[in-house]
Amino acid sequence: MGVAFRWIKFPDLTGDGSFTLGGVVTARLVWLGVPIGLAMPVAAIGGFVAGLCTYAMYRYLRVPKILAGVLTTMALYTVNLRVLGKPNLELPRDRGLLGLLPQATGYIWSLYSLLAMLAVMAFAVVLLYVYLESRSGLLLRVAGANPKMAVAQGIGPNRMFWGLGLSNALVALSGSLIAQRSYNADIHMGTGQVIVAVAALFVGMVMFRKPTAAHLVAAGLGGSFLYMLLMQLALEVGVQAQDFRLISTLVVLVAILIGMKRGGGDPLRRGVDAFGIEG
Amino acid sequence: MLAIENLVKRFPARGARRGFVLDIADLVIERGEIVYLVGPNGSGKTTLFGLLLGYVSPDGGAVWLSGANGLPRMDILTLPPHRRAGVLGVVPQDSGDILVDEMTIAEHLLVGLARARRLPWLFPKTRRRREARAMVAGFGLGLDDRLGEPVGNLSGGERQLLTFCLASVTKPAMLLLDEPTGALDPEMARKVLAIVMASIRTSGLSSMIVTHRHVEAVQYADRVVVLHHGKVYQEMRKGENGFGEAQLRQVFETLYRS
Repeated sequence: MGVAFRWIKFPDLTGDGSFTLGGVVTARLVWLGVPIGLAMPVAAIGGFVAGLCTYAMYRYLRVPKILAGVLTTMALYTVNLRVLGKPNLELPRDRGLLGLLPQATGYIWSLYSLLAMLAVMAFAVVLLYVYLESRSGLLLRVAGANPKMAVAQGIGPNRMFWGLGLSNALVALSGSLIAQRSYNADIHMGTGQVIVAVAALFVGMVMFRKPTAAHLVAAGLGGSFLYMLLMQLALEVGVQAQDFRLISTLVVLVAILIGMKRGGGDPLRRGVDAFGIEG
Repeated sequence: MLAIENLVKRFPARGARRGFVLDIADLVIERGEIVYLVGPNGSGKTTLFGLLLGYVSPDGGAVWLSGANGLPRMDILTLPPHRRAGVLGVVPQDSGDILVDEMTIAEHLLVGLARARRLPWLFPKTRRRREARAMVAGFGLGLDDRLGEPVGNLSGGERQLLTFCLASVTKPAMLLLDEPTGALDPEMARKVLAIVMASIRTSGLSSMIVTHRHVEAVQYADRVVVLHHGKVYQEMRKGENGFGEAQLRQVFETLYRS
């Protein structure tokens, strides 16, 4: 459910680290007795700060974009271990978002966990939409849609501050939800999340391509949904879980191909280019 | 006032421009003055614009800007490209470069305001339309009823007008127009130009305009500057002897022979 949006032409690899960060921060805070309503925002803020680390390295130390993300993820590995205290931490079943209904089992539990997650996601999506429609969001969308226009209109690289921060806050929130759902936070839970998010987003961007607030949000959501559906389908037809990464890669390639067919003159502009892979 | 002093750019002997040297020793554009920049292809017009806008890095010199919006006198070459947008408004030949087809006209207009933080952090759609309408009101673009439409719906001429509008609403110290009507058919070019020049005259913005159309230059310019081989070859002032299309053609004939 990584609704990481990368509309600032920044191939951000911080996601693997911030996803785990969200999970471990939530787990640790829940063990400390912090109410979940506070633990989740703190996890999200942690993700935001992680994004800012990547931004600061890129902006002030001129570290290349991809390297900056890798460095942050590497540093976060230590941070995550410190927060967790050990590589793996169970969450108590009676606390957290899903602890509100401790006796629920089976069908009821599934329904409740689904609803709880949907509620949190809906909240995040509304916040994201409002942001994209705001003054700051407008500038972010312009910077993402046309860097040349951004320069001509006086929008500087500072836009990435919000882009990277918010994207990683959302990733951390996803990590928090996943940890709560599986009652477990693991130091390796984030590994490969960036690829999953990119796959989902590519799928979403084939369907929703306009830089309007609605389309940007829909690309993330719709993409994730369709991606999950594809993966479920793969599972149904007998593909094993260990093959998922390979399939994800194929999904990305197919999405790029569709984008190419549709894009006509500028094939990769809305695909590869949107991730800023050229720089 | 914009004063270019000993601005030099040397291109390497191998490569796209093969040892081309731009060297503008002294070129001053007064406040409210409209200066047309003409010259054969490869004379350095685009390079000069690139230097002013920060797309090309200079090898020496300074570009002093003073008396704009109460800003102190400064060398704009020291500003990063995106900071120059506040002082230099740009209209490129192909406005597709700096527009986003899927975003609405209103959204485009508000970008400048948003950047200058002259909008509240959150603003509803009605407020957006109202602000945008107020901004285009003075320009006579004929777009007032279409602010909610995506820019992709606009014709080439309308896109140039919108770009001009975007470049000038933020009240820059100077406008740079790079063949603003170069991609339009002659009839549309004439219409667009009439609106643009009338607006420049009323607002009193200093402007530097690149063109290959000599008639246009002579019609609207206060001064025509002829560039050749990267240097100022000749300047002609309106009202002085020797200002006219015939004379300009003569200059080009001698220049092609040399």
